[in-house]
Amino acid sequence: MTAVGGTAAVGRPSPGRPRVAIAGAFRLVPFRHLYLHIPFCRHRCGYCDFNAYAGMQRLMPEYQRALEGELEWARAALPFAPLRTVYIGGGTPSLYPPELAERMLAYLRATFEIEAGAEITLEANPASTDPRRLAVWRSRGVNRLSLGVQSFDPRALTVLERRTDGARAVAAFLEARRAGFENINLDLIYGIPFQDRDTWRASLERAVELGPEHLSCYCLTFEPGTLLTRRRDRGLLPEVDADAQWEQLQVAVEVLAAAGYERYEVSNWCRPGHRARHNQAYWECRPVYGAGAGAHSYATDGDRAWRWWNLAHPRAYLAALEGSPGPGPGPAAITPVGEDGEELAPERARAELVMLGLRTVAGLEAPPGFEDRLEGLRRVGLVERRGSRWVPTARGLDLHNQIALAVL
Amino acid sequence: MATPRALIRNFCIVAHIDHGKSTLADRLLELTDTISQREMVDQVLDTMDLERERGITIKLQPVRMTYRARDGNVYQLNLIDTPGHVDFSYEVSRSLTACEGALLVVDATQGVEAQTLANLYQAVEADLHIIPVVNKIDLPVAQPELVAEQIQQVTGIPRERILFASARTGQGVTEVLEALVREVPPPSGDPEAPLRALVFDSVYDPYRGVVTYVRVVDGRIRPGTRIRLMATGRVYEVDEVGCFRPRPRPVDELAAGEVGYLTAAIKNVGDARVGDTITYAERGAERPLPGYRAAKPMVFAGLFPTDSDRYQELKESLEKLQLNDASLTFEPETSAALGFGFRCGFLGLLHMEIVQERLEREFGLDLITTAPTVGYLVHLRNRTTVEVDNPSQLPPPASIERIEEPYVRVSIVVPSEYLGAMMELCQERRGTYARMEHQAGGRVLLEYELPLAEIVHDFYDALKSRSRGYASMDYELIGFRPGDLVKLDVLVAGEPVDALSMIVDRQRAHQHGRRLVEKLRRIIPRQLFEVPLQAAIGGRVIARETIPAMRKDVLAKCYGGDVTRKRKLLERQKEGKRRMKRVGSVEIPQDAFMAVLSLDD
Repeated sequence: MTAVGGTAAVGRPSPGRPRVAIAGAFRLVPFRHLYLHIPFCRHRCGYCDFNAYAGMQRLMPEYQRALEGELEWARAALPFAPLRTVYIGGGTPSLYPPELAERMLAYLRATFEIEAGAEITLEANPASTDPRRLAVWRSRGVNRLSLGVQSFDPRALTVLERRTDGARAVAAFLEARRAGFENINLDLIYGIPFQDRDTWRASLERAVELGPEHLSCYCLTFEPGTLLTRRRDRGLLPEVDADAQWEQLQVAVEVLAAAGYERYEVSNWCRPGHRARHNQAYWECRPVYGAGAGAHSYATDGDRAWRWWNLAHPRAYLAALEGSPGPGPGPAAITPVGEDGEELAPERARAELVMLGLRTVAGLEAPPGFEDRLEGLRRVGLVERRGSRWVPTARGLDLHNQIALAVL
Repeated sequence: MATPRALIRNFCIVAHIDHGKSTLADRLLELTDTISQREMVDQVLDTMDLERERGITIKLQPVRMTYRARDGNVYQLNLIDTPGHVDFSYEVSRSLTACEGALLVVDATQGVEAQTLANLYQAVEADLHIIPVVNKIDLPVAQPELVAEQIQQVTGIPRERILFASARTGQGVTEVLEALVREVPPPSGDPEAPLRALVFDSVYDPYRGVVTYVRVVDGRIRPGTRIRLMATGRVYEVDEVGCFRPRPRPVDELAAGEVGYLTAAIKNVGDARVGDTITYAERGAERPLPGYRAAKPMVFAGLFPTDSDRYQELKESLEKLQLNDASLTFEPETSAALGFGFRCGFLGLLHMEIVQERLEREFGLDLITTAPTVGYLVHLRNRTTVEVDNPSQLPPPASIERIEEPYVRVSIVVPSEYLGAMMELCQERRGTYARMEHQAGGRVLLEYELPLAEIVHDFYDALKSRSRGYASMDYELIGFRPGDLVKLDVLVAGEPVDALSMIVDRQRAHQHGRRLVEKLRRIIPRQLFEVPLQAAIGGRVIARETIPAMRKDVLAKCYGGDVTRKRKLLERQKEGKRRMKRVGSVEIPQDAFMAVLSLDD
């Protein structure tokens, strides 16, 4: 365990913006999980509120150098243990030209110690997946591929403004298998306007036929500021009501259970032994270092916790690192590219632990102080005790906000 | 130096809402140099923020102007602005008696409306000289000739005495001033007789105590004068007298015929009530000026703090408001559903809204208001009579001999094509036809007698929507009449919720009950369990709805970047839940308690 002494500050010192200082003598639990954010997209889909930008691909090489700068600084300033998971998300990481992807993956290997058997995931859009890229990813250590299929239904893809189709998704999946990927996730979305239980079931069954190891089924959310939401507000798109969403969710629960998938989190299913280990880190509140534009990090000393996030816009991120790649303003600052952050007092850190832990069927051993609230949730059938652990019931997974409202 | 009485003119402006009264007042102030263009803001005399925002006048603000007329004389013109809403008709009537003349302002694009007529009748009753002014003649859709014909028809004033003006552009406004000095009689009264001054408003000022607005009828008031308020018998010594230009300016004396203010260490406005007469403490007038009565609340509702810890704060805030609003009444109320609060009495719905809004805005309180109700006279079998202003306090049916409820006479002015719709509305609301009168321009004056309870719900909204906005209305209380009334209770998850009870006409109780539970089903969010909603009369369920249990309520994604944002989202939601009222295991949002207000959509 590496010690970080003294006072560390999260975020750049800018007037009027609260900085989060990690104060006092303590020992941060070392990071074993790393997230890299690649914010580029060929086209911005109408439903998406992620930190993603279309038409900025020519910044990619410069961005990769900056990312390396940040990682080099992080490696020097913060405690890292051999990595157990790396997750390359976006945006669209598959947009990186193969040479740049190769460089990124090589840099990772050279800079961080990576545990044998570590899970290394890369998010790919079927539209920008090809055999050459797949070969580079696989040979440079990526062993888990997450394909953003979203739907096989042409109408649903149109509503989502995905510029791809089901045939391309199937081809990408088969190409990935040929390239040697033995752990593949498919992302699907339900609750899309004009989609009903039958079209959703059809999409889901096509996904199951491919036999992926992992499936994420997300309910479409109308996020503020997206084109999708504006269309709904202007009356151009109907919202899918909570009952219809629930019915589609039940379709997923039935179809996937019958096909041998386990629902292990609100929106995640897998074949036995294939839970997404990186995402587990978030749900178990283990430290994750997030690098790249807008990436979030979570650190803890086992009692208090800190969360901070980087400057979101790629240009702002680049500008912050310009001229000072490598160690930033010294070991006193957590990151040279932070935008803002928050310190979680022990009570709140524990509340997050309970809230996130109860998104997964594994549940958690509850920290002290939550007995009454959990007991109340048990009485209304949202959680139950399993040995020393509290776990959500099936209904608790569908009504997780009610659990969160009770424990927060 | 005091102005000779012959050169004083006291007048008011009466108009239907939005017909341009405040704008005309603004122009008069400008033309008489009472206020410079630089200081001019729209609606100078509407002093409360609320008034400017709503474009209505709630409180009167008198003003003194000086005008050199074409005859070469300099006149003192006292304008007494009046509230334009039926809730405050008593205050209007008292202001009118402080004047000798009235400008009757009618919008050239709208014509004579219900309030125009109501105000006109009051002005005629107060024996005022009426000067009709057709306003807004600059607008392209103005029909000044037609409107003048309507005015002639309803007032009997010859066509040639009707003025035409645009308060917005200033056109014709000098003619208005000339007509005032020429036509309005100067005040009568005797400065040497024992003092009689009419209180037409009193306002609480945190620094000076109560500032009382008066019209001196006989005698004179100076600083040091010992005065007695004839209704309360209280005696004070006057600290200051003054007039409004438009800011308060102290003067040496107010003599017979003049309008101004006085301060006298009066603690709250209830001690210097509108309509009361002020006289000398010693050797005062024998009889007060006619017509005083205390303004009585007509509409009642429960006000409860959302956060029960703030009960004491609500009490203190109501006390402060009462310093400035003698017509607001309140007494403690306890509700099983809402906890500790106050049963408040208001002059009408607008008054209630204003009080609510001031409590929330000026005192930062977060309130739950129950649906407004009227006051009933309940005659019991044991030959006693109780006043009931809270449905949950209605005695058991077996002990009741009969119930009487307040009735009003409603006047509606509407284009004749909507006459049928208006009559239908009044019939639905248990109305009795009284009379009808056709006016120039294809409009009809319709009068109905209706229970006040029918008005306090959504009558005005229904009137507007069924006439596409063209109908206007006014009403006056005409007394109590027997009604066939029952108490309708609401049960949520089997538990009666006292704050949702209402008193309704037996004939329509089923319909009301059905609509109410149907509406509540839409307002009360889904809970973890199915929630039955029932409407019942005397223990017999007459309508039932069910809120299905919540099935899905979960955030789709919660990864590294989502946690902070989503936690904050949930924390806000939790705050919203905290503001709901818990009845048994069911969380009921604040709106639910007002649901009965609009059952007819």
